[in-house]
Amino acid sequence: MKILVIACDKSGYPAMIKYTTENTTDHELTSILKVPCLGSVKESDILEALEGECDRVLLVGCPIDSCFHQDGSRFAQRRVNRINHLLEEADISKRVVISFVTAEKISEIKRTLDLISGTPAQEELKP
Amino acid sequence: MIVGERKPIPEILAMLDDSKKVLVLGCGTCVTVCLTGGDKEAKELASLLRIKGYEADSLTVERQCELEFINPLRERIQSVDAVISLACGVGVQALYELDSGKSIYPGLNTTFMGMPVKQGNWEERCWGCGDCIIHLFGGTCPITRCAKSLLNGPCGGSKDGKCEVKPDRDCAWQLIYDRLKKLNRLDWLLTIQPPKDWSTSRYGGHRKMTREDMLL
Amino acid sequence: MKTVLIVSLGDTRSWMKPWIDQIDTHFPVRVHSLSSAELGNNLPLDYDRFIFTGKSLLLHRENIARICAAANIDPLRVFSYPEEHLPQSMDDEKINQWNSYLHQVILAPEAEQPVEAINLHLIKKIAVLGKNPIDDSILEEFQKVGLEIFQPIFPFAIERQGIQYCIESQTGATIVGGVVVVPEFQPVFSYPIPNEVDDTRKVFFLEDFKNKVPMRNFRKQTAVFLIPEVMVSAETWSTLYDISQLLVQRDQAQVFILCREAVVAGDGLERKYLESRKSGVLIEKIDFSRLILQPSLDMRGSWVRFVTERDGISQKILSDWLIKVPGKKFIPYDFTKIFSGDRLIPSLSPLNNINLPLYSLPLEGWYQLPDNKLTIDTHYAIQEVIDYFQRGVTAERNRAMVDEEKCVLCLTCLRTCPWSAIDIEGTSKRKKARINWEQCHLCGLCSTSCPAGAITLYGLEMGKDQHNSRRLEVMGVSENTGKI
Repeated sequence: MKILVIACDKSGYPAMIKYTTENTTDHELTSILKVPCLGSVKESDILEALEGECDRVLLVGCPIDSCFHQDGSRFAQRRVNRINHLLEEADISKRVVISFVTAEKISEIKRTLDLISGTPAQEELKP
Repeated sequence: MIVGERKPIPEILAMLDDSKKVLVLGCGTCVTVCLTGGDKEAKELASLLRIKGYEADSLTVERQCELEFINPLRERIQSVDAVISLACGVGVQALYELDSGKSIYPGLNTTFMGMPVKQGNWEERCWGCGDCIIHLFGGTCPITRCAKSLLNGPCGGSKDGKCEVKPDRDCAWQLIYDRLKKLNRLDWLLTIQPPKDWSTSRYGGHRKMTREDMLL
Repeated sequence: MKTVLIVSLGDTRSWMKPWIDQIDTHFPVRVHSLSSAELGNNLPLDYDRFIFTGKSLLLHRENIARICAAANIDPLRVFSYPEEHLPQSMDDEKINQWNSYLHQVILAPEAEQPVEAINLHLIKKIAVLGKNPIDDSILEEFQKVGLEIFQPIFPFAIERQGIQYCIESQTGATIVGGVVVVPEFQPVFSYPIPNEVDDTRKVFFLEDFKNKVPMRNFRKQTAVFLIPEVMVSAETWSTLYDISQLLVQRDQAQVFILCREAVVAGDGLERKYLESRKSGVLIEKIDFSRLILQPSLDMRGSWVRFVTERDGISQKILSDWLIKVPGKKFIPYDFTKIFSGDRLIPSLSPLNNINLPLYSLPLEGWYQLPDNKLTIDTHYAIQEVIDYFQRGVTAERNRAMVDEEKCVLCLTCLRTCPWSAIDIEGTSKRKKARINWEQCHLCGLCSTSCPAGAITLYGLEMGKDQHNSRRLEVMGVSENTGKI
């Protein structure tokens, strides 16, 4: 799958950089964009990414109760839920995924990336 | 302010049917503040439609209910197959006054006149009965907030201060009693309210308001 | 000719030199490199672009702002690239990625906004708020490092002034750089003793019982200590262990401690716990909802029926003495009376956030001590306050701006801002939301929740229709800056 990664510069970004230097993945990570907080990611930006070639947008950031800016991850989670709901309602198979990590806990990233291949959309595409 | 809710996407898609070029019109006033039909939401919907394969674009005007703001849109509307308006019902009808020959599809279900009780939560406060007597009830309008619109006391079905018709809503008469008690005006409840003259409300027919001194 | 300065945070990388010189771009560009330590040497820093490289953990906005403030660099000209992805040699395939990134950095449009990173001045004075007279030992810890103490007397009001606070009291207006809240506790004993049991006159609070111990002998008597609270001070536990041990060893009394949690964390408490148990004190964790107390027939003691959590066995003992050990209930400081301004300050209580200092409150510069005495935890809290003053605050002026024309005054940003940095200002003719740049942490929550899209965070946005946006592409090369 083509995945655009948006990561917060406190935890998500260092975790993604660590992950990509030590591991490879079957997915194509088109970009890793650094933002100051997942709370600064607009729904319109995510949708714009999905309008392009991306199948998934992956948000990686601080855990919900440990967001450096207190509420950023919480808002991001709600926005992701809302967009996924809209995409489902519109019968579009693309999705947004959000993953909470600390700068060291990259196992969570591997788990998330593995999960992405297991979605129904991917299975439909298989011959 | 006027509050509405976005129509479910399948309903909107059904309205669009075989249109190809779609224009999503947002409104910059009430629906922006209640986060259902403003610029952000219009862009969102246009994005979704583009992913579905429509040629969609979005545009937001300050207020869709003012002809001066929507007149400049005539040409744009002509160039598309369908228009989805995210304004309240007033805005949608105003767009029809442009006589563009196209169908304007409402993207919102306009629901009520209300206020934000806290961030993200809007509640109905006014029904528009045209004959305001809020002060007699300590600031809680019984027409709007009582499910049965009773004017002369509670129905007696409330439980723990909650309405029997919608158990997650407060019983309006409980609120009225509490408020009037605080204001030391419980004696107002002893006055019997006569049957309401509904002719000033929607039941009296389509309503108008004129300021003669301002007519051009 | 565009000039680019590569700043290496952390160790200088001498191997960067060769391939910096061989950078292949279609544009005339001069590239230099420095380590961040060398930045302070007053070198002329009028470069078009800066690329900060270092461990990805160091590349967050706050760190970059701090370096820009110290070296007087325009933060909108700064880009970043993680050291982990730098090519190690000339043959490394990462060279292509690095080259294309450099290409994009040079092509990035000029920033139109004059942004400045500034180290804010913090006055070395703190206000200490608390009900009871504050322990001098705590105040001394602050005075030792040069922080002046100001203890406002009620009635007073606090208003924000940038990142400092102005306290208006009867003595006038005082400006402080931070506020420390000392908590207040109330003794609480939540288990209801039945009246009949009280009538035996053998039920006492620990403080009162403590006074009896040296004055009489409890030979062949049974004493039961009840501790239904979870939050009990280490001091109380220490006293309890001492008394119970004494009763067993001196008087050969039988002692039970029935508690919710047996506390062993604290100075010397573990040792006391073990000694008490060794001496014969029975310490049991019980379920207080199943505790039954009844007076004995001769009213000289009480029957205590309890169920131990350990094995769920119900036991019944006849006790001569019942001693109530109170816990402490934390009384939250009432902030509603002291904040002025029309912004609704949310309830101030410490956040359970591993990314923020443990004892900080959701307002910059506010800290709450865990205790009103100088314990180990209080020391940590005091150190956090001291660190705050040492670290200082860096803010970026003009970076988060509200477009007056678009703002509809819906108040969403004001309510959403986690740092309470937004105000409504203006005359009655035209009000608008204003972001206080000194208080703003540039998290972006306001900009994304603004329904009218009136807030812009220059250089931190992702939208393609904004000429001031930047996409920091690390993996993936694209022809056009602006498309993914």
